[in-house]
Amino acid sequence: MARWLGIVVSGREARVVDADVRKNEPIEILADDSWPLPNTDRSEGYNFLYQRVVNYAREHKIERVIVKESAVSGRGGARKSNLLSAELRGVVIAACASVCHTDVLAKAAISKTFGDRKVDEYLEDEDFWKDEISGKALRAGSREAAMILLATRGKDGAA
Amino acid sequence: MALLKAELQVEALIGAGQHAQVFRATCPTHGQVAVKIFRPLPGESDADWKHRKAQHLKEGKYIADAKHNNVVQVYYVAESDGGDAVHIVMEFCNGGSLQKAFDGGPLPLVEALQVTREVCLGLEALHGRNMLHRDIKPGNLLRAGGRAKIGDFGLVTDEIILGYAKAAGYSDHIAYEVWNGGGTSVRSDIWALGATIYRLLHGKEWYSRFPKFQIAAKNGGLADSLNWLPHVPKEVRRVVRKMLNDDSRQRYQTISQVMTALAKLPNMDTFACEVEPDEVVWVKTSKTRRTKVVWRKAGKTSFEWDAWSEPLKPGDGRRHTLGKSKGPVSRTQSLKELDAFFSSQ
Repeated sequence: MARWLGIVVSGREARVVDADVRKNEPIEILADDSWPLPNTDRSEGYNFLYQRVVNYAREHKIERVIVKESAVSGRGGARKSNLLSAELRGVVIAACASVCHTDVLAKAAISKTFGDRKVDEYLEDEDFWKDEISGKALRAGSREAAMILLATRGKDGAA
Repeated sequence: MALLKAELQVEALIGAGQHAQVFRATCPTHGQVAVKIFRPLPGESDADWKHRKAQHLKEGKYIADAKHNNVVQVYYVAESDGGDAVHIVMEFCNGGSLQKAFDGGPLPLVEALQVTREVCLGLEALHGRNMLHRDIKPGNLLRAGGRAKIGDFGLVTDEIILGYAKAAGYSDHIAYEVWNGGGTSVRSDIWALGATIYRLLHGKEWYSRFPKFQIAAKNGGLADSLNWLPHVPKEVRRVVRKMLNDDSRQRYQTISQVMTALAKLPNMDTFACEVEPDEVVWVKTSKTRRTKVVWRKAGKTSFEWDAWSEPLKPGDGRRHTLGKSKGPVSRTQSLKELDAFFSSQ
C-alpha cells in the first residue's frame, strides 16, 4: 500500500486526488479536492499554491505524485489561458518534486499502458469506477486525476 | 529533545504576558533569538511550579517538532541551572507581532488576506500533526523576512480526545461552543482565525467601538452582528461570517477549506483606510488621480459622508464628486450608503 496523489491542473486550479494505492485492489480515495490559484498578484499566488502543495504532500506523507502533462491544443495553437495553466502546472510539479518522487504523465501514455480502450471511455464508464475505487466519494470531474494513478499503478505497480 | 542548560545572553525585554516574559537574546549557536522565560508566579507552591514547569518543557517539545515556514521555530527548551526558570529559545522575528499593526488601524485588505493565507499554511501543519493552537490572535502572529508566522505556543496542545481539547484562549477569540462548555477543536481555531481576520481588517479604534464582541461570541449571533467597515467587500464578510458561525458544523471544517475559500475571493483593489475617533478616511490612488472618501460625525448621533476624486497634481484636472450623504443622517443610514458606494467602486 502506498499513498499517492494524482493531480490534474486545469485553468486556475489543481484537482487533487489523494489515494492509497494497492496492487490488484481498488484504490482507496482518501481525499478529492480542488485548490484554486488565489486571485492575487500572480507570483504571490504561485508561491502560495506551491506552499500549499508542499504542505499537503509533506504533512500527509505522500510517497509519489503523478501530474497530468500539458497537452498541445488541437487547433489554432495555445492561447494565453493555456500558457497560464501550464505555468501553474510547472509550479505544482516543482512543489511535488521538492517533497517526493513526482512523475508527469501524458494522456496518450495512459492509453498505451492501461487497458484496451481510450481514456475518455474509461472516464465515462460508471461500472469501471465502481470496480476500481473505494473509500470517499470521487467527483466525476476528478476521475482523470484518479485515472493517472490507476495507469501508473498498472505500469509500475505499487508498494 | 534533550533539555539543555543554555548559555544565553539575555538582552532587551520585548514582550510580557501573564505567565512569561519574552526577551531578545544572543545564543552561541543560533545568534539572535527570542527567549520566553517562565518563572514561578508570586505565591505559587513548589508543587504547582513543578507541574507547570513540566508542562512548559513539554510544550517546547511539541513546538520544536512543528517545524514549518509559517510557524515560529523553537530551537530548544532549557531549564535554568537552579531549576527556577524554563527558557523556550526560538527564532527572533524582526517584524514584530501583528498586534502593532492592529493597534495602528485597519490593515489593507490585500495585506490582511496575504497574512491570513500564510497563517493558514502554518495552522494546517499544526492541525496535521494533531495540535491545536487555541490562541490565534494578532499578538500571536509574527513577521519575519516578509512572512507571517504563528508564535506563542503557551496554549498549544496535542492532547486531543476525539478532536477536542480543554477550553483555553484569548477571551475575545473563544468560540461559541467553547464558551458554552465544549472543548477546543480545529473548528475553534478556525473561529479564532475568523476573529483575527475581522480585527486586522478593522484595527483597534474601530474594533473598540464594538464592545459586545465577547458577549455576542458567548451568547450567540456574533457573525450576524459584526460592525463592518463599509469598504470590506461582501465576499470577504461571507468568509469571515462562516468562520464565526455559532454552529461549528456550519463553519469551514478544515484549514484547507478556509484556504480554498480565500483563494476564490475576487481580486480586490481596495482603499487604504484610517480610522480616527470622529472620522474615517479612505484613499485609493491611481497613476494620475486620488479617490477619497470621508465619513465623519456631524452631531451627537448623526453622520455625513463625501466621496470625490481629484488630480494628484493640482491643476492636472478637476475635482469630481462621486457621492455624498444628503446632509447629516443616522449612523446606520450613512453606513448603508457607504456600503453601496464601495460596492460600486
